[in-house]
Order: sequence, then C-alpha cells, then structure tokens
Amino acid sequence: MSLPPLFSRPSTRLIGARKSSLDVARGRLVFMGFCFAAIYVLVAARVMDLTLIQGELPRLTKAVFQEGGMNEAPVPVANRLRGDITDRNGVLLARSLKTPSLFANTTLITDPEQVARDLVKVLPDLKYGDVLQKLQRKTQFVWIKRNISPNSQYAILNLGYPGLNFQDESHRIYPQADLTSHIVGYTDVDGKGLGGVERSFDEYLKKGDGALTLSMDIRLQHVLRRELQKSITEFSGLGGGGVIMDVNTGEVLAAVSLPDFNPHNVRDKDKESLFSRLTLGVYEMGSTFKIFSTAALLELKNVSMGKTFDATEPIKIGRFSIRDFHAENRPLTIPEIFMVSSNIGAAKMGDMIGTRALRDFYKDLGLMDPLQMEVSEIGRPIIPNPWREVNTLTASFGHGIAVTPMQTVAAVASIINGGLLVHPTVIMDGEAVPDKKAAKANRNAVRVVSDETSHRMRQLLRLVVSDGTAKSANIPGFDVGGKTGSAEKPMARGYDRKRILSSFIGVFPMHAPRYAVLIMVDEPRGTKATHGYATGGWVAAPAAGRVITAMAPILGLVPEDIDPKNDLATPLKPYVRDKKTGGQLATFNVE
Amino acid sequence: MKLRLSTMCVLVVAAGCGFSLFQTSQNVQQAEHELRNVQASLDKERDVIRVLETEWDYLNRPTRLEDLVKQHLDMQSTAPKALVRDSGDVPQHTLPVPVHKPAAGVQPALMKPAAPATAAPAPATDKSPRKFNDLIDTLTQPEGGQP
Repeated sequence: MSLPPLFSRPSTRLIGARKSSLDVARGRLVFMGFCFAAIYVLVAARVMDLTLIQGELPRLTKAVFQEGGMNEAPVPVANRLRGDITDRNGVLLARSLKTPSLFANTTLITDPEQVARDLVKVLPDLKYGDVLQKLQRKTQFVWIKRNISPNSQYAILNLGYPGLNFQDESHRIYPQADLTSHIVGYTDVDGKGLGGVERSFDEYLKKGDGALTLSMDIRLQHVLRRELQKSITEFSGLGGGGVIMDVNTGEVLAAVSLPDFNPHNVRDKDKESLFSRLTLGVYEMGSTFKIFSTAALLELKNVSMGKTFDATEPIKIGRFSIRDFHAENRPLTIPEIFMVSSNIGAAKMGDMIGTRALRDFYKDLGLMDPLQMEVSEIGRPIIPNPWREVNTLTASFGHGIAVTPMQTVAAVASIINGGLLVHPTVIMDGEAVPDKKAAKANRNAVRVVSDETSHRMRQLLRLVVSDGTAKSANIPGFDVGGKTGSAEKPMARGYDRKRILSSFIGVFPMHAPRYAVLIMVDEPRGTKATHGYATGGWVAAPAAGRVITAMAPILGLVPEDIDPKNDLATPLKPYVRDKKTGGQLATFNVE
Repeated sequence: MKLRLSTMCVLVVAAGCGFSLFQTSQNVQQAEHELRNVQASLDKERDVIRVLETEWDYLNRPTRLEDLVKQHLDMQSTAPKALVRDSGDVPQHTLPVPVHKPAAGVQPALMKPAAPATAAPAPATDKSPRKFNDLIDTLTQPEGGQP
C-alpha cells in the first residue's frame, strides 16, 4: 500500500456536511502551520542575532585589532599603564604599578574627628588637622592620600568606616632611584614625563605599547657614579659628570651627572641637582679640545710629527695673554705639545690651521650646533660671536668656546674610531623611534678625519697616558689612551685660576678602540696627597683608571699585554725630550 | 489518533536536538564563566608578577649588592694585574687531584683549601629589613629619602 502524498488534497470528492467540516479542519491546520512557521522564523532570527551579530562579529573585529588576542578585552589607552624603561640588559629603570589611592566620600562620614584620628594612626605622615579639614568638607570626593601601600590599604579597610574608598592609580616606580636620574628623568603624580627620556618619549610611553630599551648598562652606571662620587668627595668638588660611550656606535653605556636627585621625590627648588651637567651644561672644556685642534692640523696641513712650534714665551694679544700651565719655555714638537698640554703650542697650531678651517672642522664634529640626543635637556654651545682671530687661538686649547661634555665625548669618539662621525644616543631599539633605523644606517657614513689621522691621534692619546699627564689612568693590559683637561673657569673679566674644571677623556683599548670614558669634576680643590694640585691628571685621570679597571670584568674584557715595541706611543717617543737626561725619550729605530 | 512511525522519529529527534542544544548552551555559559575567572586571576597574577619583577630589580640594585658583599663576603673585584693572560701559564700539578670527587667544571688541583676566616663573619642580619611594601611607603613620603 502506497501512502498518499502528505499535502495533496484527497482525491475522493466529498459533498455536504462532511465536506464543510473537513474544509474547516484543513483551514485550521494551515493557520496553525503558519503560526508555527512564524514562530520558527522568529526563533531563527533571534538565534542569528545572538550567535552572529552579538556573539561572533565583535569577537572577529576584536581579533583584527589585537592579532590573536581573542581572549583579552582591549584595554582602552587611557587605562593602560605607562610603558617601562629598561636598560640594555632588561633591568627595569622605570615601571608603573597599580597602587590604591584613598579618597573619602564625606557625606557618609558621621564622626570626622574619630575617622581622622584613626587615619593618622595608620598613615603617620598625614597631619590630623589636614585630614580633619578635608573630612569636614561636605563632598562626594576628596583625595586623602594617593598611592598608598597594600599594607596601609589593608589597615584602613580593617578600620571599617563607610565613606573611605580606594581607587587604583598607577604610580611610577624607579627601582634604581637616583642612579639614572638625569637620563631616565621623572614624572609628575599624574604620570606626565617631566625630564630626561620620560619627557622626550612621553607620547610613546603613554601609549604603553612596550618597554623602551635604553643603551645604558646599569652596572657600568653604578661603577661610574661610585668612582665619580669618590673623586668629588676626595677633592671637595661642586659636582661632576661622567660618560661611558661606545666609540663605534655612539651608544651611551653610562652617563652620570652629580649631584643628582631621587626621581620619586623631585623638588623644583632643588635646581642644582636637577641640572644635567652632561647634556644641558656647557663648559669651556680646556685641553681636551687639543684633541680636535691637533686632529685638524694633522688632517688639513699634513705636517710631520717632528714639526716644532715655539713655546718659549707667552702669546700676548691685546689684554689677553696665553700662558702654559707647565711652562717648558722652548720649541716643542707636536707630540710634546700634546703631552705636556702646551697652550702656547696649541694656539700656534690653531694659527697655522686658520680661522675658517678650524671653525669648519669643529662644525663637522658637531661642536658648533646643539647636541643631538634623545633627552629633553639640551644645552646650546656658546660660540664666540663675532669669531675673531684670538678666538681661533683660544679655541685650539678649549677656551672661549663652551660645549656640552656629551658633545665632546662624541667628537673624541668620532676622531678615534677611525674617523667616522658618531652621534650620541641613549636608545637601543628602533621601534620607539621610527627614523632610528634610517639614522643607524647612515650613522657611519660621514667621515670627519682620515684613517691615518685617526691612527696618529690614537698614538698621541696613548703617549699622554704612557708618558704624559695621565699616567694614573695607565691600566696595564688595557692599552688606555686619553687626554687631560684643566680649564680655568671664566669670571667677569678673564679667567679664575683657582676655580677649574678638571677632566679626562680616556679611550681603550687604543689599538682597536671600543669605549670612551669621560670624567669631569667641577672646581676640585687639591689635597695633600696631590701636593695641592687639582688638575685633570690628578683628579680625573685616576678616577677614569678606576672606572676602566672595574668596567673590564663586567664587560668580559680580557687584558692583553702589549710588547713595548708595539705600543702605539713608541714611534712618537723620539720626538719627545726626556726631562731627566735632556735627550730624547727614545731614538729612531733605523733598520 | 494514531501516531505514525515517522512522526515519532521526528519528535524524538526534535527532543534530542532541543536537549543537546540546551546542554551545549549551558556548557558554553559554564566555560565562559570559567574563562572569565581564569582571566581575572591571570590579570591578578600579571599584576603580582609586575610588582615582583620591580622588587627583584630593586633588591638587585648594584649599590645594594655591593654593600651586601662588603658586609657578608670577603671578596674583592679582580684587578687586571691578577688575571693570567695565557692559560699555558697556569700551573697544572700543584696538588694531587683527588680522584673520588669528579666535580665537573671545577679544577680542585688549582684550589687551595680556603683558610679559615680570622674573624667569624657577622651573623647575616639585614641592617634594614625593609619590605617592598615599605618601599612604596617610603617613596611616597614627602621627605622619604632613598634607603
């Protein structure tokens, strides 16, 4: 038996009452069918709505916004914590943490005196009067104390007063405190960057996208700060600065300016410690500038090392007179001028280079323009205007022109590393700075001196440390070279012989330079141990020596003993007169 | 009224579908609830890790480590002079090598037994037993200095 098709009309024809009742029944069935169909359509629509429109679409769009992060709700920018700042090894220099802040809804507080008394017990640094005054004001919201510790929060919750509430706020923590204060900078209570990298990268850090990695190494920073502080204390200096720089990339591995400050607790009135001597302060650097004038002479005039300049008598120009600190009163060769740091000799070298050429050379080294670095405190060099002939003479030994210490180190690095210009930088990664990659690519494209001049300058710097004014920085096995500087500070008229800026720029290892170390002490006073001297050779060079000694094991540098025959300074020794015997330090090796 | 077999089947399937739909929906709700909990605890853990990382770097400040070394250890940094430049210079047979102690990576032949310290080292009492929570306290105090 075959079943009739489900919805076809029955083939039997009916008439009369039976027909009409069947018609009614069918009509009802069809009506019911439509009703059910309508309900199913409704249900289907609702299912579509719930699963696709409300469920899946937002997830898909979310997935587009944060690739793969399906599970995490996107955090709105305003609620994100400020980005971390780390050193090159990932050690935290700054991080924002969520901390509770206490506020009061005073309309709910019935007994302000009692609450104030109990609050002061828990938070002893609050004053009873202040708290009471705040609690007696009728308001829905008043801060009692921001960023309190979890312990205090627990204690306050334990008090159990209604009307005392907490709100999570972010609080900037600097685990290294004042160790990196000038470079990292600081923020205000609302997390706005007010100094250093915190200010110059405020926009980037605010987004909270990731950590900002600095090129600094906290271990070297500590060593540098310790030794600099030791020198300043020993010689009762006003302050000082120190830099360790990679001479090939310009990366600043450590930068200390003393006195410094605690970034958690910055007081505006403390101007002296907020002042960054390295990047904001400009100084007449003194004899360290002889590195630049000598390099200019060797580069532009192609003279032999044996060329002599007469340093018998001080130079007098108008009311100025140029004297030597350790007067030799005789003609000096270039290595001698460099080694005994003769101002007269350097001035005569400057005269030979010429005003125009010397200015251009300084400009190429970046000494005439403001420092280009990623911190917000940048000082503008003080250039003599108009530049007279006497300025050429004084600029040759680092007077009459004031630049930032950071620029000086970068310029020395550029000359020493083979002659390619380096720009000082404190930032490691390229993400934070979009044009950084391009900058890195071009970094070593500008040549300031030839390879040969660079080599001769390395010989001269080595000579200063092996036989000249900076013997105390001669760390065996590390082939240190460098130049001391002892600049008299300018007064209203002329220079003050008693107030000096003692500095030393050391580079090592000299045969293949990697690191430059600057130590600078402001107004040191001589001690008994130094026979009353406070020059760069007595104050800064020993500190640099200590820094290099401590740096080496940290960086895993293995000391290498160099045969005196192969020492960079050896070829220059025949040009230098031996004070004891009156002959040369060495004779030419004619073989 | 007589139920046909096909109608029965449809009803059973419909009931089965309805039940499984209900169950799936319950499972999803349950799973989402768990997910929310897990995510909340993850967020909490992340916050804790952030704090602990900060504390770790705070406790590992070079300044503090140096003070601790001075206080508890009789060690100094290596002077460049003390480093042997050539491994060939290292004497090889100063003491007979004890066979029973195969310590990898250590060369006992080169090591003299440590002389007993002349003065007993001071008991390891931290002069300033401060917790990280106190740090935040200290840092937020207006006159609080760096420890």
